[in-house]
Amino acid sequence: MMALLVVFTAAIALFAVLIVLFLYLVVRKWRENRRQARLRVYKERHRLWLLRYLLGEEEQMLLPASPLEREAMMELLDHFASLLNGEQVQERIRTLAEMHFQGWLHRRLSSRHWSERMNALFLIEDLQVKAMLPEMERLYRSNRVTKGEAAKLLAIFAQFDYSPVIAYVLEPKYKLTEFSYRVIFGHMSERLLRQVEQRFDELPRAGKCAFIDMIGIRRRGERSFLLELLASDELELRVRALKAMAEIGVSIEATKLDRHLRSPHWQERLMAVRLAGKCREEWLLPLLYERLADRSFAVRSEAAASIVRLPGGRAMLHKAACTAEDRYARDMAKQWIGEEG
Amino acid sequence: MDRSVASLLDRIHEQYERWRTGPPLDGVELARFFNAVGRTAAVIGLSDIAAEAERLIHRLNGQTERQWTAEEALMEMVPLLRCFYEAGEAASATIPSSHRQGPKAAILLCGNDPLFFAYVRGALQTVPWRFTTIPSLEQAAASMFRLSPDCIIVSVKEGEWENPDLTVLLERAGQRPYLPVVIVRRDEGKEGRLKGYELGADDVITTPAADELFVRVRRLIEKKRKIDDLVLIDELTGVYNRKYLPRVYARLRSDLERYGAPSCLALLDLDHFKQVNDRFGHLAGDAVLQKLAAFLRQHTRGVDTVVRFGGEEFVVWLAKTSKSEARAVLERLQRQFAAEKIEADGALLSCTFSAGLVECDEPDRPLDYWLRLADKALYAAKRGGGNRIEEAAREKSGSSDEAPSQASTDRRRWAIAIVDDDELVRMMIADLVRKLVNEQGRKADIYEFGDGLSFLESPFYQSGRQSVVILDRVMPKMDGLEVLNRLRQERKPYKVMLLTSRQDERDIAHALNRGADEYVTKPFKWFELEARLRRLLKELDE
Repeated sequence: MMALLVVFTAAIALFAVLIVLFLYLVVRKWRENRRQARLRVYKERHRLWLLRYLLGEEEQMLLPASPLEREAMMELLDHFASLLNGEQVQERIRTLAEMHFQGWLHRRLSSRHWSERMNALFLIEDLQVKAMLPEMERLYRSNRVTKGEAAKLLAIFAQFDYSPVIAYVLEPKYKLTEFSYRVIFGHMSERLLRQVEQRFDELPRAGKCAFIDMIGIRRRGERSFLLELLASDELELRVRALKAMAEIGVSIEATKLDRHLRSPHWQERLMAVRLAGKCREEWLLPLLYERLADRSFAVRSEAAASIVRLPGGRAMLHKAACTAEDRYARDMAKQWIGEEG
Repeated sequence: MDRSVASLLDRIHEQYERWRTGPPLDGVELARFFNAVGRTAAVIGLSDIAAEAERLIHRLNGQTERQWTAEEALMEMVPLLRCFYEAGEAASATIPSSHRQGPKAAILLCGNDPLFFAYVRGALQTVPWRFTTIPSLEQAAASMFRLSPDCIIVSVKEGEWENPDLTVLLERAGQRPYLPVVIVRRDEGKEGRLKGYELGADDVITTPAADELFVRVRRLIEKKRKIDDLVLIDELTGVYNRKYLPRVYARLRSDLERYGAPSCLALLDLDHFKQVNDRFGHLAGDAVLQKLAAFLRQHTRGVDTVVRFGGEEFVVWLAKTSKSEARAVLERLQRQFAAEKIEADGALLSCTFSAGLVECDEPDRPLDYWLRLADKALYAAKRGGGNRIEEAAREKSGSSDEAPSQASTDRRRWAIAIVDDDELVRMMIADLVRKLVNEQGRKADIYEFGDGLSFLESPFYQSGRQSVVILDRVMPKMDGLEVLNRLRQERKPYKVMLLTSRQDERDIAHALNRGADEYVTKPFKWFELEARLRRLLKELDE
């Protein structure tokens, strides 16, 4: 009997707790909904004015009167920043953000919650609030910074052309992925990139790979640097250097290229063949002809594509289609002539 | 005029002509000439002329360095010329100040008599008259209407009576309601005087002194003013002038009161008329005005009234006509007139006009009220680029005669659909469209859709009305390209602008191949977006 009473009381207590929890959640949801509704109303009321202000058609500044209004304005600004291009607009967005949101961003950056800090970082990036650099520096050096934040911070540093980023990139707090490096290098100015290049050897492997890729992507004229890389012992670096050269169209001597064309690794041969296609020099034809009979399909196909691009290449393919000793080479040549025709 | 005086004048005239064709002369040469004139005058007993010449030489001594143009020399001679023309009269031939009052007037002086004209101008300096001198009679006849003088003074020398140009000039002057012509001659014979009157001159005077000329001409100008007030025909174009408008309105107002039949007032203005004048000359401009007036008279009904309102503006007042009928009539006139070729000065021109239209349906309003409304509408038509017809915006818009369905089919209204899932983008573009519409003085219907599907299912899409569609490339439910495909398949008359955040070149080419008219990438470069949108809206009109 007693036991039953205990069970019953416990059930009631549990039920009561659940009801209280439920009511708490309902109230919380209701308050959040109300907040969102007020945000929306404010945004709708002020978006046109803000647009005109950003476009320079309106000079009068409207100041956010409450935290809610400030949040609404920030969201609007963030949205506009993603929709509008142009120096004047960016400048106005930045000034507005620096004038009104610094205190708020500061509080967010020192928040205990990862999400709040991360959101603040995204806002800083979108609105280009350069004035927050010291705060971000502090955050980067602090112990609680996470891997994701560190990568984001470095990308923002790069965007804001902040020189200390070089040191951070060479010796990152956390091991950065190749993708992170790519994002960071992608944002860097030429000035910063040159500094990285000087200390290329100090970069971690992922950083090296991303950096070489970035040379190709941004088409920087770095011929001697890339040629040096070709002598590297690491296959990956050689392959990436060849790829970057093919992308930019750096010409290269036959003897040097020949070595890569005969590499034991198909990746290297593939990139060398691609580079040969970009060089557009006739003396490359016999070298490429050999590669038509490569063991790897990718290399054979790329070789045919490169041959077609070279002067006199089409004739050679016709000849190869009939007379090549290797069956695969004949097939590949036929396939390309067929595609052409 | 004394023969010896006349021959001396001829000598001065000859000298003046030589100076006119030669380089500027110096003070010494001018003094030498005055000296010669003075001596001759002294020989034939014209002591006052000799004395005046002496005075002029004295004045010249002070400025021997100066170079004189023929015109300056002539003006310098004015005191001397006064002695010639006022010879034998009292030295007080200058007009007494009490007589100098008179109406402002434009006087056309024509004939090859620069000495006399210089004298008149010099002597009548203080009179509020504006003189224009045209030596060639033929040219004077041609530009008479453009200058619209209040009086023409023609100088005729002996033997010039038979000049056909003189006949033409007087004939043309006679075509106008009333343009007084005064002939000034040297000879005193009765024959010349009779000939002058016979040709149509209002007065024939033998080289008068300035005061007499002034009084006679002033009398004629005053008479002309009185007659002008009575005349309701525009001289150049032959249609009514604006003084006739109150009478037209009185008639049409009584129509409105009695039968409830509204009339429509259209204010027309030739497009780029100034350019015609600048490029082909005023004669060509006159020809265009005459052509338009004749065209309007010919292509309107007898109950309608055509009035030259002033300059290149005309009023066409259509009796018992509603706004929609009037628009149809005006559009027809506009089309036909644009196809007309106008021959002017050897060139073939074609011109267009813009019109502001107002329906006069309230008898209590004054004439000015309607003219103001029509003028506003005309202004809007001009701002819209010309060659268009605008209806006056009335305060009571949306009244019974303007049903919404009619408004939606109105070709002058732009229709713009914005299909984007981003509310802020829709707001921004709608705001931009409104700005462009205001700038052009137009009206527009702006429709917003949050996704492709709701756009395709909307009544707007079903109506197939010609419009600009601004389409987001990436949207939920239905992709922008898919929507584009659909509306191109169904051959909808839309100008499509695709918005995208993808900047890939191939992607853009792909969209253009699918039939997008414009392609704009996000984030927007605002001025570029504005320029491209303006272009599309303009294409909508074509």
